[in-house]
Amino acid sequence: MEFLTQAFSTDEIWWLESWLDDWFLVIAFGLFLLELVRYAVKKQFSKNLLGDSIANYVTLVIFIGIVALVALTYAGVFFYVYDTFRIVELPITPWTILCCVILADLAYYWEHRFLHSNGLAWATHTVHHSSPHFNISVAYRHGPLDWLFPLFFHLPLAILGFNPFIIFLSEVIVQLFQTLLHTETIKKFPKPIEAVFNTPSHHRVHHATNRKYLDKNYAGILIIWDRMFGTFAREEEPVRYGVFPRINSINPIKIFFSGFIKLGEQVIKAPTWSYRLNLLIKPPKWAWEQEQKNKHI
Amino acid sequence: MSLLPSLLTSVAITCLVWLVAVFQPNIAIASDMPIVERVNKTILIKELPVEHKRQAVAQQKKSSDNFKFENVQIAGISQNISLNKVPTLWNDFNDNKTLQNSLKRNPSKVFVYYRDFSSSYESAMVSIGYDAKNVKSKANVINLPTSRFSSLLNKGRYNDIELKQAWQKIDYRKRILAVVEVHYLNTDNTVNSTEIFVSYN
Repeated sequence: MEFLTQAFSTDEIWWLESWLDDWFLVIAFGLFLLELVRYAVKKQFSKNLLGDSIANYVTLVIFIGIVALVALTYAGVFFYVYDTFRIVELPITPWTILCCVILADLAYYWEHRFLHSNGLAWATHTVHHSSPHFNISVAYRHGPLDWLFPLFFHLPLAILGFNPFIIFLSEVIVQLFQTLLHTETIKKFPKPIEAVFNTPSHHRVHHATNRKYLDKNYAGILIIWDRMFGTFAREEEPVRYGVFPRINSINPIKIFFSGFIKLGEQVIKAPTWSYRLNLLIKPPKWAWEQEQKNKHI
Repeated sequence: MSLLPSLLTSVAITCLVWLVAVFQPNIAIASDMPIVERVNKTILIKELPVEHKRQAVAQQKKSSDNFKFENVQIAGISQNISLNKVPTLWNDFNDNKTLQNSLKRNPSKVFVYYRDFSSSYESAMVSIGYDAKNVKSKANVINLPTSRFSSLLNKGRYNDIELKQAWQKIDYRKRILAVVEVHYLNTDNTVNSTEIFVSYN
């Protein structure tokens, strides 16, 4: 209990976040190499798998470049809101961090659900889903605006009085947990864990194109959000990964911009302005259904 | 659960977790005051883990039992006030735009210098200031006494009670020349740690 209420400085929180960020990347890369060995042993290793994985890491490099450009503004917005609109100032203690991680996880659930709920957000998030493979490198497959949407969903935490350094740390913790879920190596955890936490099994379902798995399991750390809000599906049948239409490329530039290129094409070809608006605000499934209808006419 | 009930449930969960954060143990209040002001009210500062503290004590014992402030000048504000009004002086210090604007760079520490105590020890001349080397304006610069100081509280994080207890360690049978609190700041001006010294005549 004493540890939970021990105060930390913002410098210590920043150090912890940087340390987690840096070393986790190294650990994750080590895990990825182990996965490659597993693929080789199971005779599932292919040139496409290797090319796809390299492309994933290249999208990460491009993404980091973009984040470097916007990071100060992103952090500045949090500090401005925190300094101007916070209703209390919460102490920097592990207790506060724990509460913030729970709320950041809930915010992540809604942000993730939002990314799947409209064409504009899906244009960036589709990049992450477009790989036909599922391994830890896929966790690093980013789209151009992946940094933008978390802002709106986590900003309320600054108003609630969580120090921005704690919010950033919590975002990182949720992201790192999520990263570990991108694997086929682990089948299922014991039932109590599968009941409470998001697991590789639950997240495989999220990446699936199987009809019964669509728009399910948005959770970050806690799967209870999906169970509570009716978006949970259990992994029962083999998962088919990717998106429709298939991207069929290991060119990282093409992959990185694929969502916005596709959306741009759809908008240009759209018959009416209301159709264009719907492309932006309706779920990606709507655009897919319209295309299928048009094919049959 | 459909969308609206899901959103409402999320809002309720958020409020609940937030309340748990606000009313966490050993937190006096959740405040929106600047951290420097909070030093005397000491709302949020907690103790270092026992092992850290032990190390700090061992380290400081060597150096601070006979500590001297060699040529330390502080620039800030001074007032002869009742000791229970020191928080008001902190307010004035924080609101002193001229002083804050004349800082050369982010300050690393704030000094609080108490002297000329009344016979009942209820009031004293109190100065709150930054190291004068870090301030452009040399007006209102005060020298800290070069006499020997004993440590009342080794450098570390302390709560309100511990800060008060440090003052109780003063030997009031002796005549007090000065008490100096040093508050070390993070880069964002939040207090990282504190130490307190006393000098007797």
